[in-house]
Amino acid sequence: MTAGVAQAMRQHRGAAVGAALLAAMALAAIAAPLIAPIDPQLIAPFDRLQDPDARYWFGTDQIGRDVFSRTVYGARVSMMVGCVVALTAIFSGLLLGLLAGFIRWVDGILMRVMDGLMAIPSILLAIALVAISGPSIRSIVIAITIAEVPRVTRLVRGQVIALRGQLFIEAATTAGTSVPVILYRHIVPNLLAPLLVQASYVFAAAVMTEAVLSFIGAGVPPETPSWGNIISEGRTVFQLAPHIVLFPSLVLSVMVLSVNILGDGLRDAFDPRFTGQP
Amino acid sequence: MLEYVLRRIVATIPVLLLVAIIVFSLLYLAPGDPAAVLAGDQASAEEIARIRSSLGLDQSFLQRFLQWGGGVLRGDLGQSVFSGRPVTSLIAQRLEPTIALTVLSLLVALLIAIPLGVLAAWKPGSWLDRGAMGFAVLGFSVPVFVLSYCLILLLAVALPVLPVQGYKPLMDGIGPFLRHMILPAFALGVLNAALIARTTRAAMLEVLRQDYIRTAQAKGLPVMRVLIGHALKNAAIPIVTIIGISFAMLISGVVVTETVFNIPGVGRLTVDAILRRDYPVIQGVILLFSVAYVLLNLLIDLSYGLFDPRIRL
Repeated sequence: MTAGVAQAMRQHRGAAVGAALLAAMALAAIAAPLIAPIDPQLIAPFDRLQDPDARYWFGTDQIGRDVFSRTVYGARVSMMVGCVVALTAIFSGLLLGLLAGFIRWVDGILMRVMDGLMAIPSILLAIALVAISGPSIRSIVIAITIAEVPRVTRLVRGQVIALRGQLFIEAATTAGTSVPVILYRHIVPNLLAPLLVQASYVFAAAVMTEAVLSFIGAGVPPETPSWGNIISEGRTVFQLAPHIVLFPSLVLSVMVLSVNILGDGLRDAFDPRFTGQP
Repeated sequence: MLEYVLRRIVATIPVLLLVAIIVFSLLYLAPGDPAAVLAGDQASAEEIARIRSSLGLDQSFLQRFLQWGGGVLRGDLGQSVFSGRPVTSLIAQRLEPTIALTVLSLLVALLIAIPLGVLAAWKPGSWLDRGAMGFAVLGFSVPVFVLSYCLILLLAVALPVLPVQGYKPLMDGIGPFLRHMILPAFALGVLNAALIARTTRAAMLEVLRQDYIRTAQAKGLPVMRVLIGHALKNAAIPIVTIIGISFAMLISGVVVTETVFNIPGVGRLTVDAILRRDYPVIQGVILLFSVAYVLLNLLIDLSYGLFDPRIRL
């Protein structure tokens, strides 16, 4: 697995670039108070809608807050949502997928519920869940996780069923190995690579969904500097001061792009069938 | 074939039922007491209780679900908490711009994605292939509002050839309608094209490896006939499948795009309902979009028979 990651970095320059950009953004998010030159909530009425210059790198918004500082702090929200959703969705999906793959009656019920959840477009499901639980980072994380879990569960279940038919699992069962040991020793290690790839796509989807939810007003509370919120606030003055929308948009796109190319590189490294060239 | 069609249709019913249960539960779990809202600030506890029982709010989950489900089947989605108007008519009023945007973006997506995917698979590893796949990764990564604002800045502000936002109904003439639709449909279509192009390329690569393609080339057929007549037709099933799946992305894109371009469609209705916590409207819209998504995918399943005669048996 570690070898696979290393191979992805060596063979796919894109994956290495993606990983480096992502690491840089993670560092920036952690060190936000050191990097942001101005308090992101500081209102400067005389410096409203300033174009980008030496003092305000990304300009200012309609109440004079520094867009660069807000964007740096926004990385914290996106990183947090991306990491937490990726972790919780992968772990819940792993657990549910193992249950569905091993216990027949659970499989029937669980997979029908997953079908029902997947029939609702994930943004709409997230909107509905945030609407009933109120706008907070916690409810955003829960909502996006619930929308992402069905896909992970399906992936795990499919892999488990495929693995169960393999000779080495049959041999272990015949040798009297108990189910938990088979799971721990034979099934889970074989799931790690596809789950790592899936985690990167869930991360990207979560960052994107959070931005969209905040943009349409169903996201993190408006006073929180998240990229979606900054863009949403800049919307009304877009023609006067497009920089409020454009800079966070650019950073958001670069983050999602980095995660996606990292995921594609990992997928190619783990599964030679998917390589770009035939 | 009839058996296949019937089996697919029957298999859709439990999914629709589950969607209905999930969507109903959302309103059931929603905070706030509609009876207290309707009764107003001055109402006594008895009055609220009376309104609650007249609305049937004191009944069990199952009773309320059956009542609601019966209404839905008759086209009654309840009333907006904000305006008091029936949700069905609120949605019906806003349907035209949303359908127009969806159809036009899908058209843009297909016009870009299919030729791009086919050409990329024809010359794998070429600059065209690399460009197409680079575009695909980019398309996955750029949120639709970002591309929308870039296009507005370019084609409506810097170079004012198209309107910044707004919507003109088809009734007012095709010219103004299209002028207002170009930017939103293009923004949404281009991003949706990424996934379809990637799948088209993969499906075509698989087909182009087959012996009958070599035979077709060997007997001297023109390249285009081989690519379109022989290869694309046989690669159609994964391509139409991904079009069905991408419809979910298209729907969330519509909600965002209507907000950016100020288009008075169902997406804007949703966003306004979220801001006003108008749960029956949110519920109605989600039910409508989800049912449309499930039915579209059913139609696509049924269309497999057209592409692959073996399925008809």
